[in-house]
Amino acid sequence: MHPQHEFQNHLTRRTFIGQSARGVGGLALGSMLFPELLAAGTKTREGGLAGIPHFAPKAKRVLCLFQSGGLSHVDLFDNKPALHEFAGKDLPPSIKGTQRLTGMTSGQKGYPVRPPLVDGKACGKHGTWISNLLPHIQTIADDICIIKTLNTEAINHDPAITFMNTGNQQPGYASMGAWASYGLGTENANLPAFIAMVSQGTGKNPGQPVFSRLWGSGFLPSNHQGVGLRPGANPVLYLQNPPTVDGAQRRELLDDLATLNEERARELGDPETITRIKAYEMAFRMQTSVPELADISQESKATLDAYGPEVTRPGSYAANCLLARRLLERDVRFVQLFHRGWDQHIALSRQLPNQCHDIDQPTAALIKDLKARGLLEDTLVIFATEFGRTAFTQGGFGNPASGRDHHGRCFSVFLAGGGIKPGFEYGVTDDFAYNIAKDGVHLRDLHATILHCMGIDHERFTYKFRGLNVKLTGVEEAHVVKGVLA
Amino acid sequence: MVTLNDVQFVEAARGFAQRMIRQSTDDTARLRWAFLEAVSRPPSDKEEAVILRALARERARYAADNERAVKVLSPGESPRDSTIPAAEHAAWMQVATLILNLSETVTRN
Repeated sequence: MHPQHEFQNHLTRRTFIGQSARGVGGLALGSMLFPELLAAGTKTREGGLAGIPHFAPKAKRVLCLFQSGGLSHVDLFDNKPALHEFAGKDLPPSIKGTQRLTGMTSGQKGYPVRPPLVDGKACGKHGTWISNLLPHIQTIADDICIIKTLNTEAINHDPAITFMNTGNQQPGYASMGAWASYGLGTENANLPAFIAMVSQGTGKNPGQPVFSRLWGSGFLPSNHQGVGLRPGANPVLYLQNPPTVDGAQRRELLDDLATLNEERARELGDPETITRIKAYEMAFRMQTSVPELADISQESKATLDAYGPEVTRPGSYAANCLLARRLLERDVRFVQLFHRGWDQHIALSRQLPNQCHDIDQPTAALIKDLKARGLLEDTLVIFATEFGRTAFTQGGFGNPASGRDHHGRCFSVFLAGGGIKPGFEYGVTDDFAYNIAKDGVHLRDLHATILHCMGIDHERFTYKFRGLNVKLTGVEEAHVVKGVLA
Repeated sequence: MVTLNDVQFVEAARGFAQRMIRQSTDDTARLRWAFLEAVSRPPSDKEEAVILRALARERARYAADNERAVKVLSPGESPRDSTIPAAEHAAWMQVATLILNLSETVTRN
């Protein structure tokens, strides 16, 4: 952006902040003195862009359950008879094609087809095939819509996970949650609009690394970056004021600080100063809102039992699922979990059941819990991963140490909730779950669809950066997948 | 949050306050020195007024409650100069926290 334009832009924003900082402070103080206001959440939107949403949204909030490492669609969601018929025989060349493989299998002598690890069954009214490794997810078949033909050009983790989360394989772009925060603002000023949590799976340990840039703001103003909650009793550090410093005293100090920072911002027009003022305000509010959020002592035994025994272990996927529900209840715009360890190159038969066990019960419990509380209808749930896995084996067929390699040509994710057709499957892959046969969905189409559910036309949601009107969906044509919409 | 509440930063604010007090007996001279030390420029008149107002407020707070002053000075392992009255030190410590948390102090511009 031209510096002069930028200055003018911030001039407007700055004036707004200048006028409202005290009002916001007063609000924070009020909610500190009247915690019930805080618990209920403030229902008015703060931030966001004028004119957005473009049309009535089906989803007010988004929950993304990100399975990091590459979840095996072949084993879990996309069963094909041919996988059994061809077990141990090489994948036909007409199917395998000439596309790029990773260095881990490109030199392999043969490509024997490997059937799913365990059987599955047709679930729900729709008869959706789901692996018996996911017995709880089988029970929510009629609540979810599986997309079987998602595809990406990326074949390695970092470009793939970056693509899924930011719309680009190169680092430096804004993440989905940051876009949501930028466009739609927040409906609970006491918590960040975008919150991320990471857990480690029991399949592959340690799993692929997960970097904070996956919930970063990229080129967007940095107050839109996701706030990562730490596992454990203190999700955010240093919430406690120094001894004897109470909220009222801290409030006065922060008002002085805001006055001084605004004064300087007015002189220099540095947008990051504005961001810092917002960060101090958010920090102040989180001193009250985060301990209340993390305290699960009022959750019923039935609820805790539903999420499974791991729910009381801070930092587990189950514990993060429960926290996710508490965040969504408080109208946090975008909540994202990352569960590491889905990368079964080796020892698929040992790793995959563990990894499935980690997430099966909590995922199903969370979706049922959201439904029971009336939140699912206006929350978009995205159960996603960066790519699938190959129909052929990596390593010798029948060798217990073997696994599956990365596969981006087609893989399965599921959506549920606000705006999504429940109990449905979209897209068809070929007989080996290796190529798309019908209705392919590119990552950018998924992004366009996610934005659509939030009431945003992806074509008209842009940010000027490096001379481009940058979009989450990138520069190539993207389409909302109408077929998955309710 | 770190720069406001971490013991290391709380202690740094106490130490910075002590250095300010040792600079001069004059309030304005003290804060001008501190401002220059933190951001390499003197404060504007408006900035000076805001900080002096904060100082007066904190002085009143701690003058009325010496025990509170003693407690707020307690974090950290370094010893405090006990010749400085606790209430006065605590008030300047809040001024130090304010200056150390300026956007201009914690970033390069």
